[in-house]
Amino acid sequence: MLIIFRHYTAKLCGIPLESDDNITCTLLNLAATVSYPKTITDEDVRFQMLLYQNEMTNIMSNTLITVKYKGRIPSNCTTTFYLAGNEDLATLTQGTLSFLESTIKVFLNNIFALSSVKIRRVRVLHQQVQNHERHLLLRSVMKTDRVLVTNTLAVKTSILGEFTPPPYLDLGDLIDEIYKESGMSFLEVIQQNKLLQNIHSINSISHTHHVIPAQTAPEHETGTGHNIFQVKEFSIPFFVMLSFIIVFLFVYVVNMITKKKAVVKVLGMEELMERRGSSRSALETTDGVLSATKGQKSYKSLQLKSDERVYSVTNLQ
Amino acid sequence: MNSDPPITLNNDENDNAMEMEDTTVLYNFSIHHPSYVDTNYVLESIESSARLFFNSVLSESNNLIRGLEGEEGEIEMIKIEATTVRIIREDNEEKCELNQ
Repeated sequence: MLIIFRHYTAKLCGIPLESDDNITCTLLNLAATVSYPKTITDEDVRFQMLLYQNEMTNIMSNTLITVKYKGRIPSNCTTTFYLAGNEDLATLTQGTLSFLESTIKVFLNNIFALSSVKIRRVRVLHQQVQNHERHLLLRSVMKTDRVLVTNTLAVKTSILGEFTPPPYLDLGDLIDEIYKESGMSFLEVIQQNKLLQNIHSINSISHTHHVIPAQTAPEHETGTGHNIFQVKEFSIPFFVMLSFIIVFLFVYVVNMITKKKAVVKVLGMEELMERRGSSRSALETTDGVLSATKGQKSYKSLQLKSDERVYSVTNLQ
Repeated sequence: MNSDPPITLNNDENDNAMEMEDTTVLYNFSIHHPSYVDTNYVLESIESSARLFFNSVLSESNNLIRGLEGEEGEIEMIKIEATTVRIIREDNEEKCELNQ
Protein backbone atom coordinates (compact mmCIF):
# COMPACT_ATOMS: atom_id res chain seq x y z
CA MET A 1 0.00 0.00 0.00
CA LEU A 2 2.82 2.36 0.87
CA ILE A 3 4.44 1.71 -2.49
CA ILE A 4 1.24 2.47 -4.36
CA PHE A 5 0.66 5.61 -2.21
CA ARG A 6 4.17 6.81 -2.89
CA HIS A 7 3.82 6.12 -6.60
CA TYR A 8 0.50 7.97 -6.90
CA THR A 9 1.47 10.99 -4.81
CA ALA A 10 4.71 11.39 -6.72
CA LYS A 11 2.93 11.15 -10.05
CA LEU A 12 0.15 13.53 -9.01
CA CYS A 13 2.56 16.13 -7.69
CA GLY A 14 4.80 15.78 -10.72
CA ILE A 15 7.76 14.81 -8.56
CA PRO A 16 10.11 12.49 -10.40
CA LEU A 17 11.01 9.47 -8.32
CA GLU A 18 14.72 8.83 -7.99
CA SER A 19 14.53 5.42 -9.57
CA ASP A 20 11.63 6.16 -11.87
CA ASP A 21 13.73 5.69 -14.98
CA ASN A 22 15.05 2.32 -13.89
CA ILE A 23 12.97 -0.65 -14.89
CA THR A 24 13.23 -4.12 -13.47
CA CYS A 25 12.12 -7.17 -15.40
CA THR A 26 11.20 -9.95 -13.05
CA LEU A 27 10.81 -13.27 -14.79
CA LEU A 28 8.68 -15.56 -12.72
CA ASN A 29 6.89 -18.87 -12.81
CA LEU A 30 3.39 -19.29 -11.53
CA ALA A 31 2.60 -22.88 -10.60
CA ALA A 32 -1.11 -23.59 -10.40
CA THR A 33 -1.94 -26.98 -8.91
CA VAL A 34 -5.45 -28.29 -9.45
CA SER A 35 -7.25 -31.51 -8.70
CA TYR A 36 -9.56 -33.07 -11.24
CA PRO A 37 -11.66 -36.22 -11.49
CA LYS A 38 -10.03 -39.16 -13.26
CA THR A 39 -12.79 -39.12 -15.82
CA ILE A 40 -11.08 -36.06 -17.32
CA THR A 41 -7.62 -36.51 -18.81
CA ASP A 42 -4.58 -34.61 -17.64
CA GLU A 43 -4.09 -33.27 -21.17
CA ASP A 44 -7.59 -31.78 -21.28
CA VAL A 45 -7.08 -30.06 -17.91
CA ARG A 46 -3.73 -28.63 -19.03
CA PHE A 47 -5.29 -27.44 -22.28
CA GLN A 48 -8.16 -25.68 -20.51
CA MET A 49 -5.86 -24.11 -17.91
CA LEU A 50 -3.47 -22.75 -20.55
CA LEU A 51 -6.35 -21.15 -22.41
CA TYR A 52 -6.55 -18.57 -19.61
CA GLN A 53 -3.04 -17.14 -19.96
CA ASN A 54 -4.07 -13.98 -21.76
CA GLU A 55 -6.91 -13.09 -19.39
CA MET A 56 -4.65 -13.71 -16.40
CA THR A 57 -2.09 -11.32 -17.87
CA ASN A 58 -4.69 -8.57 -18.23
CA ILE A 59 -5.94 -8.99 -14.66
CA MET A 60 -2.46 -9.11 -13.12
CA SER A 61 -1.32 -5.83 -14.67
CA ASN A 62 -1.87 -2.69 -12.62
CA THR A 63 -0.45 0.83 -12.34
CA LEU A 64 2.84 -0.45 -10.97
CA ILE A 65 3.44 -3.65 -12.85
CA THR A 66 3.04 -4.62 -16.49
CA VAL A 67 2.66 -8.33 -17.03
CA LYS A 68 3.52 -10.17 -20.23
CA TYR A 69 2.94 -13.86 -20.78
CA LYS A 70 6.03 -15.74 -21.96
CA GLY A 71 4.92 -19.31 -21.60
CA ARG A 72 3.24 -22.12 -23.47
CA ILE A 73 0.35 -21.56 -25.86
CA PRO A 74 -2.15 -24.39 -26.34
CA SER A 75 -3.09 -25.45 -29.84
CA ASN A 76 -5.75 -27.79 -31.10
CA CYS A 77 -6.34 -29.18 -34.57
CA THR A 78 -8.49 -31.75 -36.29
CA THR A 79 -6.46 -33.91 -38.65
CA THR A 80 -7.85 -36.53 -40.99
CA PHE A 81 -5.31 -39.17 -42.02
CA TYR A 82 -5.99 -40.94 -45.30
CA LEU A 83 -4.42 -44.41 -45.21
CA ALA A 84 -4.49 -46.02 -48.62
CA GLY A 85 -4.35 -49.81 -48.78
CA ASN A 86 -5.60 -52.74 -50.81
CA GLU A 87 -9.14 -54.00 -51.04
CA ASP A 88 -8.81 -55.89 -47.74
CA LEU A 89 -8.41 -52.68 -45.75
CA ALA A 90 -11.28 -52.35 -43.27
CA THR A 91 -12.11 -50.31 -40.21
CA LEU A 92 -9.64 -50.73 -37.37
CA THR A 93 -10.26 -52.36 -34.03
CA GLN A 94 -10.02 -50.35 -30.81
CA GLY A 95 -6.61 -51.82 -30.07
CA THR A 96 -5.25 -50.85 -33.49
CA LEU A 97 -6.72 -47.36 -33.14
CA SER A 98 -4.95 -46.97 -29.78
CA PHE A 99 -1.72 -48.13 -31.45
CA LEU A 100 -2.27 -45.55 -34.20
CA GLU A 101 -2.94 -42.76 -31.65
CA SER A 102 0.21 -43.46 -29.67
CA THR A 103 2.31 -43.91 -32.84
CA ILE A 104 1.18 -40.57 -34.25
CA LYS A 105 1.95 -38.85 -30.94
CA VAL A 106 5.43 -40.39 -30.61
CA PHE A 107 6.24 -39.82 -34.29
CA LEU A 108 5.26 -36.13 -34.18
CA ASN A 109 7.06 -35.53 -30.88
CA ASN A 110 10.23 -37.06 -32.34
CA ILE A 111 10.00 -34.70 -35.30
CA PHE A 112 9.29 -31.73 -33.00
CA ALA A 113 12.03 -32.72 -30.54
CA LEU A 114 14.25 -29.75 -31.35
CA SER A 115 11.40 -27.23 -31.38
CA SER A 116 9.13 -25.86 -28.68
CA VAL A 117 6.19 -27.88 -30.01
CA LYS A 118 4.91 -30.72 -27.87
CA ILE A 119 2.02 -32.99 -28.81
CA ARG A 120 0.03 -33.79 -25.68
CA ARG A 121 -2.77 -35.96 -26.96
CA VAL A 122 -3.98 -37.68 -30.12
CA ARG A 123 -7.51 -39.05 -30.07
CA VAL A 124 -9.33 -40.81 -32.90
CA LEU A 125 -12.77 -39.30 -33.41
CA HIS A 126 -14.05 -41.24 -36.38
CA GLN A 127 -12.99 -43.71 -39.08
CA GLN A 128 -14.46 -44.52 -42.46
CA VAL A 129 -13.47 -46.78 -45.35
CA GLN A 130 -13.74 -45.33 -48.84
CA ASN A 131 -13.62 -47.54 -51.96
CA HIS A 132 -11.87 -46.51 -55.14
CA GLU A 133 -12.01 -48.46 -58.37
CA ARG A 134 -9.55 -47.88 -61.17
CA HIS A 135 -9.91 -49.47 -64.58
CA LEU A 136 -6.52 -50.33 -65.97
CA LEU A 137 -6.21 -50.94 -69.67
CA LEU A 138 -3.93 -53.90 -70.16
CA ARG A 139 -5.10 -54.88 -73.62
CA SER A 140 -1.64 -55.25 -75.00
CA VAL A 141 -0.87 -58.05 -72.57
CA MET A 142 -4.12 -59.45 -71.22
CA LYS A 143 -6.44 -58.36 -74.06
CA THR A 144 -8.89 -57.24 -71.38
CA ASP A 145 -9.63 -54.50 -68.84
CA ARG A 146 -8.56 -55.01 -65.30
CA VAL A 147 -10.24 -53.32 -62.35
CA LEU A 148 -7.93 -52.32 -59.52
CA VAL A 149 -9.75 -51.80 -56.23
CA THR A 150 -8.10 -49.79 -53.46
CA ASN A 151 -9.54 -48.86 -50.12
CA THR A 152 -8.72 -45.69 -48.27
CA LEU A 153 -9.29 -45.49 -44.54
CA ALA A 154 -10.05 -41.96 -43.41
CA VAL A 155 -9.18 -41.61 -39.72
CA LYS A 156 -10.30 -38.32 -38.19
CA THR A 157 -8.29 -37.31 -35.12
CA SER A 158 -8.18 -34.51 -32.59
CA ILE A 159 -4.64 -33.42 -31.76
CA LEU A 160 -3.80 -31.26 -28.74
CA GLY A 161 -0.44 -29.58 -28.60
CA GLU A 162 1.51 -26.70 -27.11
CA PHE A 163 4.27 -24.41 -28.23
CA THR A 164 6.16 -21.39 -26.96
CA PRO A 165 5.92 -18.32 -29.19
CA PRO A 166 7.42 -16.57 -30.99
CA PRO A 167 6.71 -17.53 -33.66
CA TYR A 168 2.99 -18.27 -33.49
CA LEU A 169 2.55 -21.62 -35.20
CA ASP A 170 -0.27 -23.27 -37.06
CA LEU A 171 -0.22 -26.81 -35.69
CA GLY A 172 -2.38 -28.21 -38.50
CA ASP A 173 -0.14 -26.80 -41.22
CA LEU A 174 2.94 -28.19 -39.47
CA ILE A 175 1.44 -31.68 -39.24
CA ASP A 176 0.35 -31.67 -42.89
CA GLU A 177 3.83 -30.62 -43.95
CA ILE A 178 5.44 -33.36 -41.86
CA TYR A 179 3.27 -36.10 -43.36
CA LYS A 180 3.87 -34.73 -46.85
CA GLU A 181 7.64 -34.93 -46.41
CA SER A 182 8.07 -37.81 -43.96
CA GLY A 183 4.94 -39.86 -44.56
CA MET A 184 6.98 -42.88 -45.67
CA SER A 185 8.92 -42.92 -42.39
CA PHE A 186 5.62 -42.99 -40.54
CA LEU A 187 4.40 -45.85 -42.74
CA GLU A 188 7.45 -47.91 -41.83
CA VAL A 189 6.55 -47.50 -38.16
CA ILE A 190 2.86 -48.35 -38.41
CA GLN A 191 3.54 -51.31 -40.72
CA GLN A 192 4.97 -53.05 -37.67
CA ASN A 193 1.34 -53.65 -36.76
CA LYS A 194 0.07 -56.64 -38.75
CA LEU A 195 -3.31 -55.02 -39.40
CA LEU A 196 -1.63 -52.00 -40.96
CA GLN A 197 0.94 -53.85 -43.08
CA ASN A 198 -0.97 -53.38 -46.34
CA ILE A 199 -1.12 -49.61 -46.13
CA HIS A 200 1.03 -48.18 -48.91
CA SER A 201 0.54 -44.43 -48.65
CA ILE A 202 -0.62 -41.79 -46.20
CA ASN A 203 -1.51 -38.13 -46.33
CA SER A 204 -3.25 -35.77 -43.98
CA ILE A 205 -5.55 -32.76 -44.07
CA SER A 206 -5.68 -30.60 -40.95
CA HIS A 207 -7.77 -27.76 -39.67
CA THR A 208 -6.37 -25.76 -36.77
CA HIS A 209 -8.76 -24.37 -34.16
CA HIS A 210 -6.95 -21.21 -33.14
CA VAL A 211 -7.06 -20.62 -29.44
CA ILE A 212 -4.65 -17.70 -29.40
CA PRO A 213 -6.48 -14.62 -28.16
CA ALA A 214 -6.96 -12.09 -30.93
CA GLN A 215 -5.08 -9.20 -29.33
CA THR A 216 -1.86 -11.18 -28.87
CA ALA A 217 -1.95 -13.03 -32.16
CA PRO A 218 -0.37 -11.76 -35.36
CA GLU A 219 -2.69 -10.21 -37.92
CA HIS A 220 -2.91 -13.27 -40.11
CA GLU A 221 -4.28 -15.41 -37.30
CA THR A 222 -7.87 -15.24 -36.21
CA GLY A 223 -9.26 -16.29 -32.87
CA THR A 224 -11.97 -18.82 -33.48
CA GLY A 225 -11.22 -21.36 -30.80
CA HIS A 226 -12.92 -22.36 -27.63
CA ASN A 227 -11.71 -19.41 -25.57
CA ILE A 228 -14.81 -18.34 -23.72
CA PHE A 229 -13.44 -14.89 -23.04
CA GLN A 230 -13.18 -13.82 -26.64
CA VAL A 231 -16.87 -13.04 -26.74
CA LYS A 232 -16.51 -10.73 -23.74
CA GLU A 233 -13.58 -8.89 -25.31
CA PHE A 234 -15.53 -7.99 -28.40
CA SER A 235 -18.87 -7.45 -26.69
CA ILE A 236 -18.10 -4.04 -25.15
CA PRO A 237 -17.40 -2.06 -28.36
CA PHE A 238 -20.24 -3.89 -30.07
CA PHE A 239 -22.77 -2.81 -27.42
CA VAL A 240 -21.43 0.74 -27.40
CA MET A 241 -21.96 0.93 -31.16
CA LEU A 242 -25.38 -0.65 -30.83
CA SER A 243 -26.35 1.91 -28.14
CA PHE A 244 -25.27 4.77 -30.39
CA ILE A 245 -27.31 3.41 -33.27
CA ILE A 246 -30.40 2.95 -31.07
CA VAL A 247 -30.11 6.49 -29.64
CA PHE A 248 -29.63 7.94 -33.13
CA LEU A 249 -32.66 6.08 -34.48
CA PHE A 250 -34.76 7.13 -31.46
CA VAL A 251 -33.86 10.82 -31.90
CA TYR A 252 -34.49 10.61 -35.64
CA VAL A 253 -37.90 8.97 -35.21
CA VAL A 254 -38.95 11.42 -32.46
CA ASN A 255 -37.85 14.31 -34.66
CA MET A 256 -39.84 12.98 -37.61
CA ILE A 257 -42.96 12.43 -35.49
CA THR A 258 -42.73 15.94 -34.02
CA LYS A 259 -42.34 17.47 -37.48
CA LYS A 260 -45.25 15.50 -38.81
CA LYS A 261 -47.45 16.45 -35.86
CA ALA A 262 -46.51 20.11 -36.27
CA VAL A 263 -47.40 20.13 -39.93
CA VAL A 264 -50.58 18.21 -39.30
CA LYS A 265 -51.58 20.60 -36.54
CA VAL A 266 -50.93 23.70 -38.67
CA LEU A 267 -52.71 22.24 -41.66
CA GLY A 268 -55.46 21.10 -39.36
CA MET A 269 -55.81 24.62 -37.98
CA GLU A 270 -55.84 26.29 -41.39
CA GLU A 271 -58.32 23.76 -42.69
CA LEU A 272 -60.47 24.39 -39.66
CA MET A 273 -60.29 28.12 -40.28
CA GLU A 274 -61.41 27.68 -43.86
CA ARG A 275 -64.20 25.34 -42.89
CA ARG A 276 -65.44 27.76 -40.29
CA GLY A 277 -65.35 30.69 -42.69
CA SER A 278 -62.18 32.30 -41.40
CA SER A 279 -59.38 33.38 -43.64
CA ARG A 280 -55.70 33.97 -43.10
CA SER A 281 -56.33 37.72 -42.90
CA ALA A 282 -58.55 37.09 -39.95
CA LEU A 283 -55.59 35.66 -38.03
CA GLU A 284 -53.94 38.02 -35.63
CA THR A 285 -50.16 37.81 -35.54
CA THR A 286 -48.31 38.72 -32.38
CA ASP A 287 -44.72 37.65 -31.87
CA GLY A 288 -45.11 34.58 -33.95
CA VAL A 289 -48.35 33.56 -32.23
CA LEU A 290 -51.23 33.06 -34.53
CA SER A 291 -54.67 33.15 -33.05
CA ALA A 292 -58.12 33.15 -34.49
CA THR A 293 -61.49 33.46 -32.90
CA LYS A 294 -64.65 31.92 -34.22
CA GLY A 295 -67.65 31.83 -32.04
CA GLN A 296 -66.63 30.97 -28.50
CA LYS A 297 -63.61 28.90 -29.48
CA SER A 298 -60.12 30.24 -29.87
CA TYR A 299 -57.21 28.62 -31.63
CA LYS A 300 -53.62 29.45 -30.93
CA SER A 301 -50.41 28.16 -32.29
CA LEU A 302 -46.77 28.99 -31.84
CA GLN A 303 -44.90 28.92 -35.11
CA LEU A 304 -41.16 28.54 -35.23
CA LYS A 305 -40.19 29.56 -38.70
CA SER A 306 -36.97 28.81 -40.45
CA ASP A 307 -36.50 29.00 -44.20
CA GLU A 308 -40.25 29.57 -44.55
CA ARG A 309 -41.06 26.22 -43.00
CA VAL A 310 -43.03 25.45 -39.88
CA TYR A 311 -41.11 23.14 -37.57
CA SER A 312 -43.24 22.87 -34.48
CA VAL A 313 -46.48 24.08 -33.08
CA THR A 314 -47.58 24.11 -29.48
CA ASN A 315 -50.58 25.24 -27.50
CA LEU A 316 -53.02 24.35 -30.22
CA GLN A 317 -56.40 24.67 -28.54
CA MET B 1 -2.84 -70.49 -8.35
CA ASN B 2 -4.52 -67.32 -7.23
CA SER B 3 -8.17 -68.04 -6.58
CA ASP B 4 -9.06 -64.93 -4.56
CA PRO B 5 -12.29 -63.38 -5.77
CA PRO B 6 -12.02 -59.81 -7.03
CA ILE B 7 -12.84 -57.16 -4.41
CA THR B 8 -16.03 -55.28 -5.21
CA LEU B 9 -17.32 -52.10 -3.63
CA ASN B 10 -20.99 -51.65 -2.96
CA ASN B 11 -22.70 -49.27 -5.36
CA ASP B 12 -23.19 -46.38 -2.89
CA GLU B 13 -19.51 -46.22 -2.00
CA ASN B 14 -18.57 -46.44 -5.66
CA ASP B 15 -20.83 -43.56 -6.62
CA ASN B 16 -19.68 -41.24 -3.84
CA ALA B 17 -15.95 -41.86 -4.11
CA MET B 18 -14.92 -39.98 -7.24
CA GLU B 19 -11.25 -40.59 -7.85
CA MET B 20 -9.26 -37.41 -8.17
CA GLU B 21 -5.82 -36.63 -9.56
CA ASP B 22 -3.58 -33.59 -9.31
CA THR B 23 -1.72 -31.72 -11.99
CA THR B 24 0.42 -28.60 -11.96
CA VAL B 25 0.34 -26.15 -14.83
CA LEU B 26 3.23 -23.74 -15.15
CA TYR B 27 2.78 -20.21 -16.44
CA ASN B 28 5.78 -18.05 -17.31
CA PHE B 29 5.45 -14.29 -16.96
CA SER B 30 7.70 -11.33 -17.49
CA ILE B 31 6.84 -8.46 -15.14
CA HIS B 32 8.01 -4.93 -15.89
CA HIS B 33 7.94 -2.56 -12.93
CA PRO B 34 9.84 0.40 -11.51
CA SER B 35 12.98 -0.70 -9.71
CA TYR B 36 11.80 0.63 -6.34
CA VAL B 37 8.94 -1.88 -6.30
CA ASP B 38 9.92 -4.79 -4.12
CA THR B 39 10.05 -8.26 -5.68
CA ASN B 40 7.98 -9.68 -2.83
CA TYR B 41 5.22 -7.18 -3.63
CA VAL B 42 5.30 -8.37 -7.26
CA LEU B 43 5.08 -12.03 -6.25
CA GLU B 44 2.24 -11.42 -3.81
CA SER B 45 0.36 -9.29 -6.33
CA ILE B 46 0.67 -11.96 -9.02
CA GLU B 47 -0.39 -14.75 -6.67
CA SER B 48 -3.43 -12.90 -5.33
CA SER B 49 -4.56 -11.84 -8.84
CA ALA B 50 -4.17 -15.41 -10.10
CA ARG B 51 -6.07 -16.79 -7.10
CA LEU B 52 -8.96 -14.40 -7.67
CA PHE B 53 -8.95 -15.12 -11.37
CA PHE B 54 -9.02 -18.89 -11.02
CA ASN B 55 -11.74 -18.77 -8.40
CA SER B 56 -13.94 -16.88 -10.82
CA VAL B 57 -13.18 -18.78 -14.02
CA LEU B 58 -12.85 -22.40 -12.96
CA SER B 59 -16.60 -22.79 -12.83
CA GLU B 60 -16.74 -21.59 -16.45
CA SER B 61 -14.00 -24.03 -17.34
CA ASN B 62 -15.86 -26.85 -15.61
CA ASN B 63 -18.96 -26.06 -17.62
CA LEU B 64 -16.88 -26.02 -20.79
CA ILE B 65 -15.24 -29.36 -20.01
CA ARG B 66 -18.57 -30.92 -19.10
CA GLY B 67 -20.00 -29.57 -22.34
CA LEU B 68 -17.15 -30.88 -24.46
CA GLU B 69 -16.51 -34.17 -22.79
CA GLY B 70 -19.84 -34.90 -21.15
CA GLU B 71 -18.01 -35.80 -17.96
CA GLU B 72 -18.92 -35.43 -14.32
CA GLY B 73 -16.77 -33.76 -11.72
CA GLU B 74 -15.00 -30.45 -11.36
CA ILE B 75 -11.53 -28.98 -11.45
CA GLU B 76 -10.60 -27.51 -8.08
CA MET B 77 -7.74 -25.15 -7.31
CA ILE B 78 -5.37 -26.52 -4.69
CA LYS B 79 -2.36 -24.24 -4.68
CA ILE B 80 -0.91 -21.23 -6.46
CA GLU B 81 2.72 -20.36 -6.03
CA ALA B 82 4.81 -17.71 -7.78
CA THR B 83 8.61 -17.99 -7.80
CA THR B 84 11.22 -15.65 -9.21
CA VAL B 85 13.35 -17.05 -12.01
CA ARG B 86 15.48 -14.05 -12.92
CA ILE B 87 15.66 -10.33 -12.21
CA ILE B 88 17.01 -7.96 -14.84
CA ARG B 89 17.61 -4.29 -14.04
CA GLU B 90 17.76 -1.94 -17.02
CA ASP B 91 17.07 1.71 -17.66
CA ASN B 92 14.15 0.99 -19.98
CA GLU B 93 11.65 -1.66 -20.92
CA GLU B 94 13.10 -2.40 -24.36
CA LYS B 95 16.49 -3.31 -22.94
CA CYS B 96 14.78 -5.53 -20.40
CA GLU B 97 12.97 -7.35 -23.19
CA LEU B 98 16.18 -7.80 -25.15
CA ASN B 99 18.01 -9.21 -22.16
CA GLN B 100 15.42 -11.87 -21.56
